[in-house]
Amino acid sequence: MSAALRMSTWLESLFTDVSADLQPSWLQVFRAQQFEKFLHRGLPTRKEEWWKYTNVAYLEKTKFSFPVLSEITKIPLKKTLDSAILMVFKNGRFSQELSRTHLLPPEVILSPLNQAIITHENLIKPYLLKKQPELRNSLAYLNSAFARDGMFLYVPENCIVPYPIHLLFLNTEQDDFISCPRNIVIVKENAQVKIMEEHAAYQANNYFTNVMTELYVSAYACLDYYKLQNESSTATHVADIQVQQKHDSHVNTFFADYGSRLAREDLTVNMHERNAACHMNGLYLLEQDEQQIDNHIYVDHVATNCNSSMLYKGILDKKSQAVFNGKVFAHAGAKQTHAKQSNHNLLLSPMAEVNTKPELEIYADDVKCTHGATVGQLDENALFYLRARGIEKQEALQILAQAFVEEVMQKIADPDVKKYIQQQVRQHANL
Amino acid sequence: MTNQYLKQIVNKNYQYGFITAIESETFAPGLSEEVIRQISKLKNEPEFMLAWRLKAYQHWLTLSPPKWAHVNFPEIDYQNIIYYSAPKVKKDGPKSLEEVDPKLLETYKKLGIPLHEQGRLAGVAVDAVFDSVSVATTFKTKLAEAGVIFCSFSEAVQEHPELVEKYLGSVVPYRDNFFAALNSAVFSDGSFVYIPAGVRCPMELSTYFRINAANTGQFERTLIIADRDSHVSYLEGCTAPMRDENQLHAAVVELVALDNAEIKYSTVQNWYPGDEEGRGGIYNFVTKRGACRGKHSKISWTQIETGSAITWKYPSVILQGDHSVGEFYSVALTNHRQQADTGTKMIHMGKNTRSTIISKGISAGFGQNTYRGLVRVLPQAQGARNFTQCESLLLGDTCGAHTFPYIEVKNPTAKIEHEAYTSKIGVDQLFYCRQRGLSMEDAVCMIVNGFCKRVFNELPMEFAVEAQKLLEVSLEGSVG
Repeated sequence: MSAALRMSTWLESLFTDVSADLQPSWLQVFRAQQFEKFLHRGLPTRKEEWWKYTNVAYLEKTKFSFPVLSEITKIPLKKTLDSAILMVFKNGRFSQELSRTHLLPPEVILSPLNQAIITHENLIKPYLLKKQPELRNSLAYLNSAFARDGMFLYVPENCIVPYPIHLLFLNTEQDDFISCPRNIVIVKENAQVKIMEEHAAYQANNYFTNVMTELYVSAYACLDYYKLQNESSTATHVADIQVQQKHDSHVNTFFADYGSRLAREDLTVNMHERNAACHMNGLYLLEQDEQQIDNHIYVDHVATNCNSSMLYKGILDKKSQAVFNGKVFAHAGAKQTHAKQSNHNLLLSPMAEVNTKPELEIYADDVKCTHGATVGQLDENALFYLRARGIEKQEALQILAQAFVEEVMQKIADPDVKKYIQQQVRQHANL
Repeated sequence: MTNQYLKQIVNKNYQYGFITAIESETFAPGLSEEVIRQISKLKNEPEFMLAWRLKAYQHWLTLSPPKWAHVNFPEIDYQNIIYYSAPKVKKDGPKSLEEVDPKLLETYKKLGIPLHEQGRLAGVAVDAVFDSVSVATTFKTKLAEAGVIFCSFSEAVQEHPELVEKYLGSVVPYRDNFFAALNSAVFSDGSFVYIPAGVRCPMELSTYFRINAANTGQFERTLIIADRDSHVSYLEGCTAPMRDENQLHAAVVELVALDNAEIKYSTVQNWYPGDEEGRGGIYNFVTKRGACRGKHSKISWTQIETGSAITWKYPSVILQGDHSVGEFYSVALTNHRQQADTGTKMIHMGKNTRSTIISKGISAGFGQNTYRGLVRVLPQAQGARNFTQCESLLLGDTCGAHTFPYIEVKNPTAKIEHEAYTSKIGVDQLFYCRQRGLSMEDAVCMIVNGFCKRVFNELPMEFAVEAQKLLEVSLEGSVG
């Protein structure tokens, strides 16, 4: 019996719940289709090449429920980004009183998804119902079926959003729940926007976040997407990020993963038109036993003259496990493709484990593709150098680890966001 | 203009495509327990061999062909293959070269393989395998003086059954994979080498494989054991006639290196690659693996893969002994409709083990070239070190080059480096050469040769020259 079938009874009851929502009929049909697809596919298993190193079978053991509305009235984080447009979601549901959107330019549409489906139905419908090939991650179908809230952002032509938009998903004061936020971002021609998606927890345990973010970037547009994942140490976080780039568009992504028991980031970038560029950077810090962070990236180079680069770095301690799989696929027409991939890992403990697989699949001849991967430990000589100058061992180790991470941090263009991410990472990851 | 030139180069013919008309003893196509018993009986094998073959066959029946490789081919009908074909010989087999069928000798002469000892320039001992059986082994007496055993596998089974029983399947067990199981069940011959403790093999050892009969599969097995403090260098070459149908070649090679021993295994694989449309050609599905069992042992694989319609081959090293070393140097070339999925596995188990992987892939025409490699460091492998470099060169816009490196590390003291790049021949490089008066063809050959130099340097001298020529031949008409 497949995993999905075993889970299906309580999943069905959750789905009945979702179906009872006030929603247009096309959405109801769409959700039912997606739910059917998930039941058919089931949970990903390690037999699938794309999930070779990551086992999510334990998700079956918990009978997840939807969260009840949270009563929390204050953001339990030490600091939030000061000059930013803030949207807060409590246990996956939008919270008006905690959010702050007065800095938003008037022509931009920013609204919680469940409202936007009613108010901007015609805008959202084609994006949700678009045809797409079979997804590698079956949990994305579950997200489509269960997504009740999230962010909808529409930036019209030539509009530059001057402040970053900070999305904060707070998971608070509850256990054993499933949250499936869905974010849809549409950046029109020549517009610019920066988004920071943060997942954080406060007194919540063993919950499951299954988030999906779709980023549609039109011609000549620029998008910076930052993601911070600091879920509770008993939580599971699965994210599917889909980027669609038109010609001459520019996307920068940055992932910082330092929370959760198991985190999986699936990033897909489609460059279907010429001259697009995408720079992906990431950081993962694992400090607990049995913790696992898995980054899978798929870059689809279809058109000519596109540029992509990846730089992912990770530090692993205790009995943790990190997975990196970057894949660059250059189709026959993708001439003048430039693709770079690198993944560097620092192991601090004898029990830590790294599985890395930077792949290239190339069918075009006029390309330059490179990849590199390293796994190693801290340099003895560097440590000795610092110790010889009277620095405590612990501090010296910290300095070296910080220096290792700094290369990726430098890739964050926005100074405020960079400062904020550096603070967050240092606070939580003992760097 | 380059394209035209490319075409010329690509269209060069396969020069080993002739067929030798020779009487042979051939089984009817099909595989069953009966066929295996017959092979075993023909070979006059001891009981343990038959039992092992049958176990392998039973296991094979439970398996299905692997699908994960990045290659496409119609399903093989395993009942339509002839599993045994041998040139007809006198009952006892040839005692010396004079008794070998002169037609066979002529074939090997055409291939440029010196079977006649007096005709040799350098000291290379040759074991020649024709279709399913070994036909001649040279320099036997000289090798015997040094204590080296170099003979056909059938002979080894008769004369050194204790060694065969001890090591057969100890590196590649019959359960290993689909093709290894098939080979274990039906293998008909191959080479056997044993280098006793403290001996440095006085000459290069070499095997030439030749598929001649139509419709046959070739399943040979090579077993090389290097005892303590010994050293051996082994070469392997392969050719086959041009035929329209695909033929299966599923070999197994096992290497065992004990303390301080060193094995150097070089392959120049030039099976018939099929024609421009992809008709015919050999399916080369080979399992090659070496075990560095002893401390400070070393196994080095060098391969030049220019032939075969499909190559599916991962020469691997299991680094069990502390301080052992594994090396893999490869040049794989795919042209026309050829497909290659090749690479290596380095399994680090002992302390301070080191491995180096240098892989060069060249794709032209409609060729698809894949590097697939695994570097695995187990928790007990303190201080493991790996360096991997894989580079691909694309000649033309209809071919593909792919890289799938798997890196699995479970020990923090490991140092693993991997780098790769894919590109085409630089216009500036070509311009530089052309400007200095080189023809387009020479310029391309020079650049490709430079690209492969690092691997060619690992080959024994005679082979390096041959490999360079082979590359020129295979590439003719394919550079852009």
